[in-house]
Amino acid sequence: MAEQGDGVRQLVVFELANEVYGINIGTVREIIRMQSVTYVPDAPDFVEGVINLRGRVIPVVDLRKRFGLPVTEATNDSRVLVVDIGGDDIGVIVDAVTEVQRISEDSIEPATALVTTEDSYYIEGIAKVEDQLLILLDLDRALDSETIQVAAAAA
Amino acid sequence: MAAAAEVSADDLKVFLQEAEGLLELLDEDLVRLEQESDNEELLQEIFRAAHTLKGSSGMLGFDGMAHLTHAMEDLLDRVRKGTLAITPELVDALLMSLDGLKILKNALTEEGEGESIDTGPIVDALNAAAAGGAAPEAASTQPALQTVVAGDEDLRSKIDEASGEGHTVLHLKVRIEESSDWKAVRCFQVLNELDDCGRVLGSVPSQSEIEQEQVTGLLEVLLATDLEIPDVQARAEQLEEVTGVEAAAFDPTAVPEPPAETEAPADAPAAAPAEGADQRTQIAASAQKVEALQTTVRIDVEQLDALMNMVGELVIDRTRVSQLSRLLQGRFKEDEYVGALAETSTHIAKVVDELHESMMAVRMLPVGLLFSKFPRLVRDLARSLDRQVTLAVEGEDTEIDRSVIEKIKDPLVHLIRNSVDHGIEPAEDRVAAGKPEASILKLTASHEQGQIVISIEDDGRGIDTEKVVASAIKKGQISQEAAERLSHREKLELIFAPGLSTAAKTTEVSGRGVGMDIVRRDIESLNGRVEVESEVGVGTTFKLRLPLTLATFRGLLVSSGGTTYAIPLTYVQETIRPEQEQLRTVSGRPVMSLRGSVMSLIWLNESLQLGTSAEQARSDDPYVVVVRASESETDRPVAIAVDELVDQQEIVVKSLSGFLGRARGIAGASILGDGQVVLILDVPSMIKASQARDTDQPATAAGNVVELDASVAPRGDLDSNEPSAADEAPEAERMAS
Repeated sequence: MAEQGDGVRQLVVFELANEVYGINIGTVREIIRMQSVTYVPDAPDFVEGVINLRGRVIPVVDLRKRFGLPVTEATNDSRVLVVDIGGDDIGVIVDAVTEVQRISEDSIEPATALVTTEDSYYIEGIAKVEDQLLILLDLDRALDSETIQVAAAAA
Repeated sequence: MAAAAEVSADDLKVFLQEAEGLLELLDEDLVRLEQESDNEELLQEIFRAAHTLKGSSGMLGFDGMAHLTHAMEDLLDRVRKGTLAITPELVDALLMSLDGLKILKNALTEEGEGESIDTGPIVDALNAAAAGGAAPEAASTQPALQTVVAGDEDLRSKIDEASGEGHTVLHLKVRIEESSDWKAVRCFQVLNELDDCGRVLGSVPSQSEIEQEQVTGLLEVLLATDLEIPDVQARAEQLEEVTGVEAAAFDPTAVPEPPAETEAPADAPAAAPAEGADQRTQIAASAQKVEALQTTVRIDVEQLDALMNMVGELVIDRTRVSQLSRLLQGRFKEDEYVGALAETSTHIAKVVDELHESMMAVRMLPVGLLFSKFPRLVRDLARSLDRQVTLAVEGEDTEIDRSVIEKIKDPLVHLIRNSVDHGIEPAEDRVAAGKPEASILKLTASHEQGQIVISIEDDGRGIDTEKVVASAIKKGQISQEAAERLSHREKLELIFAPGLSTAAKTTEVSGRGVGMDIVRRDIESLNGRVEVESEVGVGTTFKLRLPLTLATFRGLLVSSGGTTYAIPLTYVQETIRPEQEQLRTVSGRPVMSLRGSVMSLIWLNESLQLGTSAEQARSDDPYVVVVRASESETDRPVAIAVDELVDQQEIVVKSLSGFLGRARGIAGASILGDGQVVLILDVPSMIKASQARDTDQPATAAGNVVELDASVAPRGDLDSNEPSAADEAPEAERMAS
């Protein structure tokens, strides 16, 4: 953990519509396979429904829908990242989880320099790792219900 | 009393709780003190209790109590210092002051009028006892350690041995933070630390007593060491929660000679063990006390909830195992193992059911816990509003799940407040109306058909329905014409409409637009109901009907559009498979006719907007569940059309994440035996939503039964005030997203 303080971050790296994203490993509680999802009427449209996580009922969101990406069927590689958002466990469906990676803070370009759309408030920055661009997500912001409501109202 | 009057209800409660505990302790200890006049710890305890009581009563301005405890404290301090002997007279005086304190305390509890006795004579008696009992040097307070040493030959030889080896034997008195929850642990740490400084020869309490947690704030240690006293002190003092360390060279000559009255020195060895034995019986007694106390256990609420959750899981699995075992039996009738399995499964089912029941019972609390807060509330309200109210409470022993108790507190406070504020008239009005000056507010709890019923009944002026209706019309919640068709009961129900202030309902007193709609919403969120009955000039009764528990319920599983839902059985009146001609559309709204009545029909899929078009969503051959939000006349049955009836079973309620917002028509979720998540339908809100939709189209039959032959009368006007505007706002928001 000492490296963590020396400007190194550990990220869970996953794929979504051919892009590579990273989120802080600290927010990820576990990674599980896709499971049957019970649809919840009247929930925000990127919410797929609820699943049974060892006796608890937690919501799952489809990150493709959240980011307005084309929706595809789940594959064998699809995973649910169970993340802690403001104390609530929430499942996040992604195309695939590739690895856990350490990157140095130096390689991160802050988002402010790259903001292209008003939607990118949940992008913390972009890291260049071995010719690959890694989009650093702030899931807290991406899935914060108030932000979503504001965004939805604006839409 | 002037000062006491300013004490907040909360402060008073805390103080009373504390005082009660301390007085009980004093009661016991003072009597013991008479027997065990040499028990230093006991004296300490008594002194501390009096001291604490003096502090808190003084702070809150209960001068009588402060005065009295101050006198007690003075006297006890002298006993402690050995300048005063413990005599029966002295204990008498102390007990008398204790009784005085009790009277003062009770006065605070019951009437809040307090200070009803004169403490002067008691204080005089205390002083007299102090004067009369003044004893010279013969301090009967003997350090416990010395007593032990006297009674323990083994220890004495150890001391001799240690001094013989040239070590210093120290007598340490280590004080541990009184409020510490870890006294035993701290004592242990002290002993460990001291053992590092030399050799612990003995201690009071002893090591084994410490292990059994028989500890107080004082630990006395005999230590053989080569270190200097300040060094030893410093080592002990650096430990956590050690508040003081006294150390002195052990003085073997201070070991008590045989008690003064025993003349012959030869008797000493005999007397000493006897004293040791005394100590032991005392410990045995306190151990017994601990044992007696342990027949009840305090449990962390969270732990209890966790247990309940696990039992809930078991109940789910039990259902699943029973199902599977039935299936297996159907398939392999002859197989002996399957037979045995079925037997075992039946037995498990029985045990799990019993476990479930016991678990529920454990969670039950008498409703009196909640009711006990109300006398004070009523009194304060009555005083501030200048009413004369007597609160009569019945059925305090009725038990309710603690989660329900928590959630009905606010609604109950609300209703009581309303009764005193708006229901009960000022005394002169009452007299003018020929009623007794003091009104009676009756608070009753009882069991009724598997439900808890709590009623709040006043003999006040009653609800003037005409005023209620006028207010509703003024607020645009109902039209003039619709109002004219309302029954008395329906008019009364209008008080639950949002925005209709209770002030408007009865009196000219206004300003606080307290909403009965909030009360109703709170109670309905518990799967309960609020009913109101009222007669002008006679009084008003509110009845809360509540489920025994929130954790589980019997549910009907239905499926629609390939998804399974649970409907709480309490709402289900019947299930039928209707003929095609029973289902029809009147003015564009689906309805179902049943035994001469027409009720509105909700197609579950459509209602939940499952994304399919209306035509697709309607099965050709549906089952219909007839539900009703309550038995109240105003809640008429509604039909819900589903594809299949799946099963009936115990449903364990799981909360839905707040992340999902307030999913319309959904009350929560549950997990079935096979791990599948099902949603629990929120029947009252579905009915309301359906009625709200109906009112969008004026010329339709709303969600109510109308006679077939009658023209389909629009009752929508009435209904429009039922589904709250507040409910719709978030929905609109959601739809926009």
